[in-house]
This record gives sequence, C-alpha cells and structure tokens, in this order.
Amino acid sequence: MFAIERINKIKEILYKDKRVDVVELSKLFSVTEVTIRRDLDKLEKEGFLIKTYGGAVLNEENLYGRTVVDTDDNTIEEKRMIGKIASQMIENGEAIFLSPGTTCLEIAKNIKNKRITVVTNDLLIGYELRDSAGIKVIVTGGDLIKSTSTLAGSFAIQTLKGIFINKAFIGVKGVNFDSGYTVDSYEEALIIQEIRKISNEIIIVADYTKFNRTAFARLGELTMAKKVITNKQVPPKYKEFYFENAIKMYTTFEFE
Amino acid sequence: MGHFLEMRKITKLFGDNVVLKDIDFTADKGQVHALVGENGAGKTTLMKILAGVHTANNGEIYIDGKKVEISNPKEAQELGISMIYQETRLFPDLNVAENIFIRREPLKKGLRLIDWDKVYSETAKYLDYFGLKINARASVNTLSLGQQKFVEIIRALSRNARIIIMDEPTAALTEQETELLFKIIWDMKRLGIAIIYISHRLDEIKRIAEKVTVLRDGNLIGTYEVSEVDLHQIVKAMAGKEIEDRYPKLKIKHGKELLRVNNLSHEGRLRNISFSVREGEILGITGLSGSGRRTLAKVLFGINRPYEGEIMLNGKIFKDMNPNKAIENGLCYVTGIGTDEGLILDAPVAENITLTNLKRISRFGFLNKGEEALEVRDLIERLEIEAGEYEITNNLSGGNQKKVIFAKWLFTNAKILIIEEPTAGIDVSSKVDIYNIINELLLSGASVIMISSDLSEILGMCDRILVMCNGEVCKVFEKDEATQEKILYYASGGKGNI
Repeated sequence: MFAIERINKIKEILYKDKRVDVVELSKLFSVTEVTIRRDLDKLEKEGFLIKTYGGAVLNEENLYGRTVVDTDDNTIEEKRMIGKIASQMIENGEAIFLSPGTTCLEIAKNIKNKRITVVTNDLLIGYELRDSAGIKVIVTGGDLIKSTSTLAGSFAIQTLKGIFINKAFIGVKGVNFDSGYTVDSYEEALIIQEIRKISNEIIIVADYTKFNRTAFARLGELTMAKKVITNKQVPPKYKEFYFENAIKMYTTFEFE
Repeated sequence: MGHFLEMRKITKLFGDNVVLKDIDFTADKGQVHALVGENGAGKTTLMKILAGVHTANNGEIYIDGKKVEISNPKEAQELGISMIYQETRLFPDLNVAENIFIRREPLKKGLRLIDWDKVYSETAKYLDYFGLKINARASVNTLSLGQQKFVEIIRALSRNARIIIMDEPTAALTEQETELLFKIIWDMKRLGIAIIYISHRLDEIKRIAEKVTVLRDGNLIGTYEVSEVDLHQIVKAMAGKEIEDRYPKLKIKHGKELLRVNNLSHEGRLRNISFSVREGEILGITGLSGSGRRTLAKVLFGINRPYEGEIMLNGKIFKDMNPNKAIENGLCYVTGIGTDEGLILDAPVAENITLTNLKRISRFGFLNKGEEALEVRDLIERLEIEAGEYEITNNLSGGNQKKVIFAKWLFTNAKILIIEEPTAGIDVSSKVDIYNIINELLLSGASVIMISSDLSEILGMCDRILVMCNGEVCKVFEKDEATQEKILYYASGGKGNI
C-alpha cells in the first residue's frame, strides 16, 4: 500500500470513529509506529487532526471552515505534494495564473506568504487566498459553469486582455500520448488558449491518475509546456518521453 | 581507398527523425578511431548499424574492399564485427569461461560432448596474454565492472573479431581499470584489430587514438588526425549549440553551511582543495577521468587516508576521517553502480538497505527482523523501487539498484550526500526519478555534492560547478556562467579566460 493510500485510509477512519490509535494503525497497515506518527504529523499540519497521547482525534472545528470538495478526493495527498513543488517555482514579484481545480487549489494553499499577483478563474482559489496580505488576487469574472467554481465564457476572456503572466499553472484532466492534454469542457479550454497567449511559461500540473486518460476538450500536444509537475507513480514511458523531449518533469517523493 | 572498414553515406531515420545524415566513417587495422560527440549526436546509432542492431535507410558498408550487407547481429559477428556496449552483456550467473564460449563450446573429437578442459585452458590463455588476474572459473557476478569489460573483450577476440567497437568503455571504470583497459587496447592494436572507440573524454582519445571523428546532431562535423588536431578545436566542434535543458532543477533557498573543506591534500593526488556546501544546495564536481574527483569523494568519506587540511561537518573540524565518523556526522557516499562498493550484490535488498545502520533496527544488540522488514518496505515504497525486500539485489535493474543505494543512506538519515555518477548506465525513467529524489532530499534540508562526468546533468542540476584537473580545483562556475565548452576547456587543462 502506498503511503498516500494509507493516509487516506487514516482520514476515513478519523471521519468514522473521530479518533485513531497509533498501535492499532501500525498493526492494521503493517508499518512501524514511527511511520504512523509521521503520517499523523502530516495530517496535523494540514489541520485535519489533533494529536493526543498514543493517537489522535479528528479536528472537527476545522471541518466547517473547509470547502467540502476534497472529502471524497482520494488523490488529495498527491495534489498536496504537487502544490508544494509548484510553490518552490514561484518567486516574489511574479504574476501567476492558477487554473480551476483542486490541484491548483493546493498550490494556492502553499503560497500564502509570498508577495505575488494571482490571476484565477476559480472562485474557490480566490476565496482560499482572501487573507493573504502579500497576494493581490484577481478573479476573472465570467459565466459560472454549473456545479463548479469555474468561471468561463467571453466575459472571462475579455478580462484577460492587456495583462501578462509570468507562470501559468494549468491543471488538466487527461494526459495521453494520442490526445495530448485535455480538460473537462470546451469553455475551459478556450480560457487556457487565451492564457497561453499572455503567459511566459506554462506549467502543467496533474496527479498520476490523470495519465493515460482523455477528457473532453483538447488543449494541445504533450510538448506544449516545458515543465510538468506530477507524482512518482506516473507510467515510465511518460517519464522517458518528457526527458527525451527536453521537458522538465518534477515528481514528488515524500521524505520529511 | 584502402581502408579496412568503410561506411559510406550512412543515413538513418527513426520515424520522421533523421538521426544520421550521410555519414562517412572508416577504420584501419591496428588503429583506434575515436568517435566523439555529445549525448544524442548519433555515435551509438552509427555503431549499432555496423553491429547489425539497426539497419541503415541508406548507405553502403565495405570491409576489405568488399561490399557487405549487415542485417542482423549474427551477420555482423560472422564478418568479425563485435560491439561492446556500455552496459555489460554477460550472463551474471555463469562463470568467465562459460561466458566466453557460450553457445559455441568446443566439442570433444567424435563425441557430442563439450570439451570443458579446452574451454578453461583457452580462457586461461587469453587471460594470461593480457596479464589479467581473473579466475576462468569465477562467476561473472563476482567480478568488478572493469573485469567484466575485459571478459567481453576476450569473448569478442575468441570469436575472431577483426573490428571491435567500444561504447564509452571507461564510463564506469576505476582509474586503475582504465589504465589496464588502455594496455589491453595497445595489445589489440598489435594483434591488428581495428578498434572504434566511442567516448567524450578527450584526454583518453589523445592517449590511445590515431583518428577522431566528431558527430553532432546526426551530422558529420569532421575527421581529424589526433596528432595534428588541437583539443580546443574538437571541443568546439562537439559542443555546437548548447543542448536544451531537460533537468528538473528546483530553486531551493540555501540555508546554513553543512560542509566546508579547507586546503585538502592527499598523497599528491589532491592538492589544496577548498570549497563549501550549504543546505538545499547542489555542488557539482566534474573533471576528466584521473582528475581526482573520485579520490576527493573517498577522502571526504574517510576511505582514503590520511589527508592534510581540514574537513568541517556542521561546524565541527575533523583532522582525520573514517566512514563511521562520516556516517555519524550525517555524511554519506552514494557510490556509482557497478563499482562493487555501494552494494552487496548477492544479498537481498533488505539487507543492503539496513546494513549501514543496524542499530536502528536492533534491541539490546539483537537484530529485529520484523522491524527490518517494515522499515525496508516503507523505503521501497517511498522510492518506487520495483523489487521485493527479499529479492537478491543483483537481479534488479541498474536504476533500481541505484535507488537501493539511496534507500540505504536515507535509512541512516544522512544530511550531506556525496553522489557519484547518479545516473550512469540507468534507464531514462529511473533517471527522472533520481533527479526528483535529489530534489526532495534538498527540500528536506540536505546538501548534495554531485560528482559526475555527464556534463549536461551537471549543468542542469547543480547550483555551482567545480571543475577538477590533475588533483586541483581549476575553475569554479556559478550555474548561469557555465557551458559545456567552458567546462571541457578547463577540465582538459586550459588556462586563463575563454
């Protein structure tokens, strides 16, 4: 079992039982108590639980403040790590774009103490950064795509005229040799085409489950971006392809 | 005319990609013709065409003035062409003699029985001829990588090879083994063998080759007489434009100084070396073989002793070092694979990982096997090592073996990592993994000293680059100032500014 699966399982148990026990967990997953403690440390940092003697309890207070989108997301750990790597690439004074989705939301969570400008068409990302003093947040406006927090349409595109972006982080739903990078809707793809015109650098972010998959609307070839941030579990042939095509591929390994 | 081997107008396409364009190449008996160029220049592809692994889309090959068709490796072998690849292609579980005579063992007269006496006596004859102290009955997996190379050379000769191609033969060899290899090459020249030597180490070419041909991006740049050509000219021809950067470099804020070396000298092989490394930083050390870069690693880790000068770890000054002291103070040495220093190849993965820190899994002096298994499984999972904990390490791919070496040092919580040839001889996908593992180590506050002969890797990953030449630091570059050409210039003894 991968560490991430284990952490997600721990979260499930926490939701259900509201408490966990280090010794029990170490038996359940056949890993050392040290490993379990490391997992709990990680979850505590995220504000998910509060550690107690020999275990931990669910941090219920924090639950209400959270947007509920990630509770059934089983790759949230991978996305969190992608967010961490991405934040290393952003320097003070830059203007960045964050595309809609939970992966870019994780980037937002990791950049709160920087002094930058963030442009986004995701309402949740804008909201996430509401208290960050050093960050100027610009939300595009536009039509809200039903049941999402994504803004799109010609009104959104208009708001992008006349601005320039240093680094655009684009979350995609599909990465595939044949279909290239794909996203869920045609409207989203149109926005990203506009972003490509005004950005210095495009950085693709996608957790490993997006590989070998195709979503509805195509953004472009796998060579359209010179940097990709993903996870170590990505199929080797993609790692080869990126390296051979001089695309920098960042994957996440978890050592603390 | 009159060349023993002539390749004319060789063109090769992979899909729509032209990887070789109208290449002319020759080789003569008793001579070494070096083939140089950056990674991806087409050197290996050209030679694989000669060895029958690839077929050219266009062009002709002549041997001894006769046109030949080579459509598979067997035909190449029948024509006396043998290629020795970067990675050894021997059967690790068979012994030396069996490897040399595999599938063509001499039979006893009138009987369909293998004449084993003859197999061993023939093998011993070859080993004697080259002055090699290798037992014909030794299993190949007990040999060093250099010794394995020599076995491959003997196998080629015993198949009556007239043309021997060597693809970067010294890449994984120690300095002594390199010397021995050169001696063997001289012996082969006397035997009238035509040798084609792929390399990017110009100092080696100066020593052993008569001619050198430079390829760049699949094009023939030129063929020169080694005695007449200036080193600088070859470097320029090779480098051409800077290759595109493909390395996942992360800019990480540098913290406090973890290692400092002041005026380090060792047995005349290292002279007055000073440098320092900080948290989150990668210091690259490069240089041609014999420059002392590997000796430096061994002195830092306390394998080669004694030294003059000081080594400072975390602010503590050491006048004397040994591996135990180094490990206790968070310094580790991730050796190159195949150097038989980093791994116990016939031991299981688990044992290799825990070996350097048995204390961690022991209680009152007894080894806790259950604990070992758990810790090891955790590391195997975190590094994506494709192997079980009880698998014999020798059966793993080069990439996975390298990861096992990393796991071993992660297990000791090392903070300063000397990493030697981090990706030599491993597959591309593991390469990408290794670079990202290094990134994670830096993010967690480690320092890395990367010793490598792969210049693009050094340029792509390092924050600062130290160029060594004859046991001294001859140039230090910041990441943005360095180019392949500049590094090659200083590494090969160039002085002043370029």
